[in-house]
Amino acid sequence: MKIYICLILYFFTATSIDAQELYPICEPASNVPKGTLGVRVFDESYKEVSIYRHMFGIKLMYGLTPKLSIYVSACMSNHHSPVLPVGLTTHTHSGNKTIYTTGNITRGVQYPYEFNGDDLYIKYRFVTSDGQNSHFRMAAYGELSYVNEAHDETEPTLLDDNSGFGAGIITTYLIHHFAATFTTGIVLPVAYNGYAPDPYGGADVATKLVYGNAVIYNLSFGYLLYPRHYKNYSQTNWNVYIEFMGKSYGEAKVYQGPQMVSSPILTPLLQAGNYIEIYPGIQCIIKSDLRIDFSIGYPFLGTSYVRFYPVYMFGIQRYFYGK
Amino acid sequence: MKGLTIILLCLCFFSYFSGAQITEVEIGVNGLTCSQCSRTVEMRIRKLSFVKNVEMNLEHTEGKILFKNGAQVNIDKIAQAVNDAGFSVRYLQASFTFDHIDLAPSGCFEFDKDNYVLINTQKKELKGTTTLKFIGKKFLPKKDFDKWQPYMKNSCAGNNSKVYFVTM
Repeated sequence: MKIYICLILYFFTATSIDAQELYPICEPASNVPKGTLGVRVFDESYKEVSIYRHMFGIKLMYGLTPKLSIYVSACMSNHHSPVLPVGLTTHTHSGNKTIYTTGNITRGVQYPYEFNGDDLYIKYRFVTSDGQNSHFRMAAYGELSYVNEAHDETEPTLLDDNSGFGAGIITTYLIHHFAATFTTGIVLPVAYNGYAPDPYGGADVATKLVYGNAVIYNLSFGYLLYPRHYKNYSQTNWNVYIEFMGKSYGEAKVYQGPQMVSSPILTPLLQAGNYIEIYPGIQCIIKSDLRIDFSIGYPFLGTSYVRFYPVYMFGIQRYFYGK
Repeated sequence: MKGLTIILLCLCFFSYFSGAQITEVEIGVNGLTCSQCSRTVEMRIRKLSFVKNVEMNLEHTEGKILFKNGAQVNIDKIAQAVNDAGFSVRYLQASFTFDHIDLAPSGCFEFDKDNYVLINTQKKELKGTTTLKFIGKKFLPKKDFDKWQPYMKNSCAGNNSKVYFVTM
């Protein structure tokens, strides 16, 4: 914890260097230049018990106007079982009455790689206040995801785990010594309808899993390590980042047939929660064109149950300016 | 004889336009904070058909733009290219090569098919190489533009077309 505080203080007190807002995870309020195509490939990975989980994705970015950018993403992962897990629900009998409860979901199970889904993200910059080496910008974004995966935790994550809608506001402030971006928004996931295996060997049971809505609050800082002074485009840029990724989400509701079976919820995977993760990251930009970044995520306050720590994030991105 | 006259007229015509041209633009760009951003601005400006070369000064977030010989320079498109890249013009000044222009009291003059109003100056003529700063919403931060706005009056006789406001 001390090292994080020291790093943050260093960011705030560093002098004579422009900051960077090309965050590995969060989007800044700035846009993709008009008529420019950006391509990003990325991987998120972590070890879950003894299984390595990966999510590979591709993101295409395009500047429709100087203030309006559109992003289309698709990804594949080995995050999900083809059907809801056997431990999602269980039941006992009391006389002629059946009492359903949520069960314990086994972690570290090998799942096949599947195409998760796709995501449309639109960002509009509505405040621009530029100075010679500074800017203050605000943007609004809207996001729509189509994912058809048997996601078995209440925390919603668009593109990877859930279909749904997201929207929010991004604020970026950059002045000589540091850049900071605050993102806040909502995630409204769509419920999953599928089948869960009967724990006693009967036929699969039609199951509806309603995920909790979420509020996100992310704070990112960026800092240019090298070069100390720009001379030409061939200088490789080295940037360091710290991103705090926060989320609060509601508890899940599980229905089997017409009956809600999720009261009380026994597993934290389906209970309401909140957390903040910290992602220190490093980035190099080669010839002012090819961007390569790497971050490692740890729990900062609380923990997410949709991934295990540390989380490794790797991305490569390039802009194509056209003729 | 008729043919020779035509050739001579053509030579005069082309020499007039190749001499009276904007030869260079210097531009300051606000909001630039990284070399990738600067490169984006350069790439957008390079796309303009009349641009020969762009040299960006990453340290001072400025650029020098050179033009193809004889090409008509469109200053609006340069400012728009900066805007399209996602940034703002801090200043834009151009080097004009004038043969000789007598200025109207209103400061109006025509140059390379564009209309200009020279404001805030006592100059009565323009000749040789002169650097003029462009005044306008596209060419200045809002705070600077607001200072200039009271002086921006288009009183060029019979001219309702677009004008560029410039100052020394």
